[in-house]
Amino acid sequence: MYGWKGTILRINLEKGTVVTEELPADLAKKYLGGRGLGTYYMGVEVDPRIDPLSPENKLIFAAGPLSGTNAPSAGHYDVVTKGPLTGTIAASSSGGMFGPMLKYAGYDMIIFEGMASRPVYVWIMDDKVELRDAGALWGKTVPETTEALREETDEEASVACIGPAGERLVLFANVMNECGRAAGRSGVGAVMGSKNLKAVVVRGTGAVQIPDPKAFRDTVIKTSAKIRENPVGGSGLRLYGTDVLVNILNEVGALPTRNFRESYFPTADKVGGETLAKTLLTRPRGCYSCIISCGRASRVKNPAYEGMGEGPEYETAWSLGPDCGIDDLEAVTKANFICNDYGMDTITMGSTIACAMDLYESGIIKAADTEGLQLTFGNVAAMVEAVRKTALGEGFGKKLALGSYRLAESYGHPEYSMTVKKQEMPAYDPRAIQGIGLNYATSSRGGCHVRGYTISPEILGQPLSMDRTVTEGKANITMIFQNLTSAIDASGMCLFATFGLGAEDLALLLSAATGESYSADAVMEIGDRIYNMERLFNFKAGLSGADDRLPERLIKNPIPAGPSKGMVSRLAEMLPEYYKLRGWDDAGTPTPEKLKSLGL
Amino acid sequence: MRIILRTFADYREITGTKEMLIDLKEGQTMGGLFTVLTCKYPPLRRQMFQDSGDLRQFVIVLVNGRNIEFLHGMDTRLEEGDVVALFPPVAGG
Repeated sequence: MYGWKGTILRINLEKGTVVTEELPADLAKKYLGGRGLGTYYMGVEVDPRIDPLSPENKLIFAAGPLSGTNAPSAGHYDVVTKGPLTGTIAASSSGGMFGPMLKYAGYDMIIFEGMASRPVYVWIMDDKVELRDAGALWGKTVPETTEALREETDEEASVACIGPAGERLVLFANVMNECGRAAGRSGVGAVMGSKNLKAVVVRGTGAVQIPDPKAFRDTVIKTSAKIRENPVGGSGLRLYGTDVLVNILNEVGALPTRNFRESYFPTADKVGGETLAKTLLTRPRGCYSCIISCGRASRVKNPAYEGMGEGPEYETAWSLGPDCGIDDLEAVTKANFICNDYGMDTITMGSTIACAMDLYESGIIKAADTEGLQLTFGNVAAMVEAVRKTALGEGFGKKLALGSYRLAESYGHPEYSMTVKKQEMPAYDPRAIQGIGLNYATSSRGGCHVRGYTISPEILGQPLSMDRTVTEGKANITMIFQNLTSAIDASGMCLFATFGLGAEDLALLLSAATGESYSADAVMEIGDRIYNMERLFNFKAGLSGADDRLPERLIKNPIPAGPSKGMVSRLAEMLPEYYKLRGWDDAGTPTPEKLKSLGL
Repeated sequence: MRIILRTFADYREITGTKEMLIDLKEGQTMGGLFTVLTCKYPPLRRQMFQDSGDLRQFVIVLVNGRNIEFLHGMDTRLEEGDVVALFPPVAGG
């Protein structure tokens, strides 16, 4: 096979067995890889009703056909499993070097089954695969684990591991690779922890075979040039990182503030990308084959928050910042470093603290519940301490480790949780930006912006401009973005490549890399197939169209002040049209005709 | 009348300030404001506008949080106390 390696590695952690299987060519063509192929195997091999943290769940690391090629920003892989935070299918994408290294070792995908009886890690050196004891690594942070494993195996190896948060089954634990890159949503790291799997270490010395290297190279040059010529992909993200979004979202009155009570934070600039670039940034950082380099290598010198690492990204600066009523960039960055080192999703961490602050200020959570921690909005020290307690599993931190929905529910007030399908929404207020609310509500893994990033047209004017305040046209654009994103995630490319590239470009790259023939329409159909397949998994797990909703606060409580004052989400105006365009019935269930047309 | 101008990212480097107050004639439009601004900060003209005089692709101009593309473009009338925000092409996620 070209593009793909044609081999799946299946590791049963209970039996300690390792087998290789052939990747069927028809499945590869139909689902590509990553999120697509991973979800296909989950659907076929796992009963969606299982407990996500039981041995019956499977954990899949899947690269795409473009991973490890010279295609621009083609360094991604997905961790696919049933997520413990949401109870839905969870596919979490990460950059860095792991995906390409997996391909160089000869594999498209690893399927982990069962649960090891003691902590183990997997060492993959091309065709040699070993399960090794990880007892000495249990309890170690992500940087400690990464360093120890590189010393023990190969300095050039890529390490994807969990931190102590994953070991303790924090429901929003990450899988981290290259220390600072995260498969960071829906708690895929907790599934890894439940299997006693500390790390996957890969070193490959092979290559990805391309049918016509010159033709592929020409396609890469053309598509790379399109990204470089795009003012965002070419320079904007490198200069300021994703955190540059803080100010624009604040200026339009869509920066969720104090657990979505408000959507404008007067001192937001203090945690924005411009400030970060002038203060803590040491250099931009890029993943494998990336010409964008949005990553931030940062350092805090202030002894109170001293540290170095990656971040903060926009979502992190927001969740640990304005969403908690905080504008201290050093503290936010320190909290980010703790999350990275212990392996926790910063979006859910920050939003859960914001929810706790809301409950605390409303008199529902008492000081006696928090070991005296004053969880008031704006309390910088309390925010950092809450992150530390969660990371170490101390006291109130154990409740925070459940995420905001279960926390608020335990106090009898789930309405304080700003979640969709029990996953925290990111940094865009759906009252001020109508389309993103529809995307959140219909996202296959709960509150998530990178399922269908309608912020591009609604705020950034890319690739076309849409009025954020209206609902017209939002059903269609949401569906298109969700489908394109699914295909991108399945290909092994980074979503940010779409700041410059579209379905046509992806089709050209896939065709040139695999020797198969893909059109733009075919790419979009693959995305549609993946989205529907995820929907089917979720419905079999017990979800329904009734779960396509937003928190009541966003439907009933108008934004109280700022540029979007008075706005609410008008989700009900968009949902019926969205279902219709999707080929789903009035209740949001995919129709037999629709499924048949997608070959599902 | 007096409006508030906020600049971000590269444009902030040009103006050297995050925010400034600008006095304009009553009834002035966004087009009029840009005439004043590009006179005061010539590099802004090249960064924000094409040779044709149209805004460059993906440049974002907000008046009180609304993109002028969905108001009246360069003919959008400004009023006392309005907040104008200028962003070069940005993205993230």
